[in-house]
Amino acid sequence: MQHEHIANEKIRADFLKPVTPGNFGKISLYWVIGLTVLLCWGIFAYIYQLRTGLEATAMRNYVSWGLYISTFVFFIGISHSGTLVSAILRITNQEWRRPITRSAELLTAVALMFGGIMPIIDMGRPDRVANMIIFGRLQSPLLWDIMCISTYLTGSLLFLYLPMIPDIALCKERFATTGSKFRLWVYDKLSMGWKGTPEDWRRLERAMRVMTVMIIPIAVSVHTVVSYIFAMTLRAGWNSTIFGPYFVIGALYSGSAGVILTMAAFRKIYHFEEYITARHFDLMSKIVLSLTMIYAYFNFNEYWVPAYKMQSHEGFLLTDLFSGSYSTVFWILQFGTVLLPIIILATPRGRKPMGTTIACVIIVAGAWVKRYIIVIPTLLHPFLPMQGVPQSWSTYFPNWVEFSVTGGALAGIFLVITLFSKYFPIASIWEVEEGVHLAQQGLAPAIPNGQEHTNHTSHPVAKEAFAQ
Amino acid sequence: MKTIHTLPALLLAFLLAWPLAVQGQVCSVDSTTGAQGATVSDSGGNGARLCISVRDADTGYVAVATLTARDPKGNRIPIANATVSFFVKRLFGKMPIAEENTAPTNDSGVAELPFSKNIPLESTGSLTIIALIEDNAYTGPLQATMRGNWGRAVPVVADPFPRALWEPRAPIAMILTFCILLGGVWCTYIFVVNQVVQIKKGKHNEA
Repeated sequence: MQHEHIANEKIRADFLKPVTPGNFGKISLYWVIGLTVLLCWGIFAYIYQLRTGLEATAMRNYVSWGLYISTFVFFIGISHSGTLVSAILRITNQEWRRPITRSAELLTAVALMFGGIMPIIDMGRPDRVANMIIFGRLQSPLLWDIMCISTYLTGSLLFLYLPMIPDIALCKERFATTGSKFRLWVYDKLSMGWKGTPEDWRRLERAMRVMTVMIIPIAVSVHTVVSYIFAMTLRAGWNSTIFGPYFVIGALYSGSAGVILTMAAFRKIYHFEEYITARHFDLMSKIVLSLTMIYAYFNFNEYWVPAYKMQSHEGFLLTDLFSGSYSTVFWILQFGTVLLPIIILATPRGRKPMGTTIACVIIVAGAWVKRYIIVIPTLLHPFLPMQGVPQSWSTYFPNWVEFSVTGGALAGIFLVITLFSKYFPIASIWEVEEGVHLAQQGLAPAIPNGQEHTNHTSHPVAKEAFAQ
Repeated sequence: MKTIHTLPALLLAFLLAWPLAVQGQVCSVDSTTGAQGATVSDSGGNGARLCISVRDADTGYVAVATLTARDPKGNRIPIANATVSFFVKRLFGKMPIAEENTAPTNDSGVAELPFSKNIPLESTGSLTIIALIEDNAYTGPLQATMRGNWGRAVPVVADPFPRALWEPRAPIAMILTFCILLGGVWCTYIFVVNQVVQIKKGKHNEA
């Protein structure tokens, strides 16, 4: 028991170090200031857009969904990370998940928050957003989107919060003398009077078990519905029956790559090498590799089937993608962001932290551009020919306003994640301790190298140790 | 002093009335012809006036437009050789009342145009007929309208799909599915939140 206690103390000390009051280094400060400036610039650009109208952007009659909606789809895709890593790995009792679930769940919630506001930013009259619900038609995919995203955001916040309760209680106890009044007030309110009694654990476990099962179909439904705002319209490039699963796989592929990047960042910045090990990267890489191959298969189908037929308008669009104005980007996406990551991640060397990180940067950047390629070229190929409009309306490239607002949203995501990691443990301490305890009892593998066990997501002795 | 107090009200009334007054070139006024719902149109400068009426004929109806103006002495005189176009008002514009929908005014200032009894009535059970002088050097543009039931009533067919994806009302099955799915999820959330609340309550009970 003594050894367990020492192990617990070390884990607690390691994970609480970034959260310790006053532990806000200069680099962190500059980073936060930089992100705040970018966020403010984005807000300024948005206010300018509000005052001027959507004319301030490069969007016109034909391309009415530009960079904003592409980014919306991308952010919602990234938000699938938490579901995959946390819920699926929890439900399948993957012991190695323990140090990385919190960052995945956090990325989900924050990406959803900012993803959810992108369509509102895209609206010329955001003050009328409530009309979407008040006068909304249940038959409209736009209303489905609002319902699904708000449901998923609520679920994701709950899913993030539940396993945080014991850790917040720990923070409240540890920083009782050093923390500011505000910080302690937040800890006090969010810890919900957690005492770590068997009844507390029983209730927490029950809630987590329910949410773990529930969040997976909700996440799948969200990206399916996001695909429906495209697939339910009769337009070349979007009129596809596989858009739902194609978007879900695309989201999982980019989302899990996003988790690896978050893991890599926290591992490097907060020196969590002992907990987020090379094995984590190896295992996550295999997941990303599998998803990339499934995504490549969907991608092939999505283009090959209509390309075989080259039906009128579909043909014009595909010609533009394969050999026209979008061909360079299109082929770079296919070979650079799908094939190249497969090649990197297929080799043991490529699955080491550095190789994995590089592959995931490529995947995430590619996923963003891919959304752009899904949205824009189709809008530029309407069924009715463009007539009586200025020549400039037949092309689209985002202008400074759109780049600023989107950049501001991205900075906002980084800012929230950074601030979160300075106030709350970025790994689930009690779950890591539990994993270590189970490993010591021979009920589960040690995190770095063992095999996954299949029993007991939680162990009462480990919880007792945590309660001490 | 009393006049001074009423000045702002007069000024306000003038400002409100001014936009109406300057539109006088093509303005519709209430009919005095006795026809059902008819209107006439006055032109500002020379007192030109277009009136419309409809009369029965053996094979259908005849739309009658009468164009008059005032001479320098103030007497109302007919205007001949002005081209009057006749239309039927539709939801998003106007449709020519017949294949040839124009007629010139005669020496009495009257233009007549026969039209079919077979024009479908609006859903309100009436038809709006428009007489229009688009461009005339003497009178300027003029328009007169008249409502009546000179046409064929279109039987209202019951909508075979009162609830459908393309109708304002969603299918019942769709509403039920959404309610069950979303209700199930949100009930689960309530259950989960309740577990957290119970943790908090447990603390209080302990205290």
